[in-house]
Amino acid sequence: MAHRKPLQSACKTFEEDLVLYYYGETGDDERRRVNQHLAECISCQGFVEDLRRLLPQIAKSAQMPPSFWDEYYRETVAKLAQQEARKHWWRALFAPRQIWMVPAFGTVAVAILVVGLLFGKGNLNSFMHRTSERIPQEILADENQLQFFESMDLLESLGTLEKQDDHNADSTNTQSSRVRQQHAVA
Amino acid sequence: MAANDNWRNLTPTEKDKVQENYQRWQRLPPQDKEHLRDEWNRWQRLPKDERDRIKQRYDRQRRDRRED
Repeated sequence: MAHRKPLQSACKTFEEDLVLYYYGETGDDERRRVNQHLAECISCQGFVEDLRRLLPQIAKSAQMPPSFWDEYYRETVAKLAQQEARKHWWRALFAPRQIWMVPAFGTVAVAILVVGLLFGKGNLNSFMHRTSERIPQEILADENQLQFFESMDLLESLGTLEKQDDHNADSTNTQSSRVRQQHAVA
Repeated sequence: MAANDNWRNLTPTEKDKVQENYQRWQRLPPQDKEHLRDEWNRWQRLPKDERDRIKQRYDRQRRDRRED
């Protein structure tokens, strides 16, 4: 960074007036008084010289060249367009396509389906029932396990079913013993 | 493997039922699991004719319930 020469110091009592003098904002009396002082004071002359040298540069540096604003405008417009495109990315999916893309997409979709069916372990039927083939290995651990899970509902009501069976057997036995007794009496 | 063969021979409905029972089994509390295991052992020890009778009764009741 370039070394900048600081402002030459002015007499404290004139410093403020010298700035106003530089900008031409002093009254006639003030200007006359400052002019008289400047004629005698080298420090204050230097201060005003510095103001003349430095202030225009400071003011200039705040002003951007037109090329800067052109570039700034272009960048801002581009950023806004990007932002808008990100917000409505899904619109691109439904945007009208080139006419040649329709059969191309159709062909690709059919090809994927055919490859899936050919290499997807056998026939269409097994393909359709693939979901039920996802079976935990615990069930297939042995034949007993599979039978157990098959008959779980029955096992839950086994006690009741047995009682019903016993009751039926009892009533059948009672009936048959009655029949036997009737036969014996006859 | 015999279990795999048996599995392949099941109908899709039976397969779904087994899967459903398996999932239900996983959620059961330990004492219920133990009870079912005991019942399974008892079921296997029952004479075949008794097992067939109970199975027929169970199927009939299930069919009746479905018709109701």
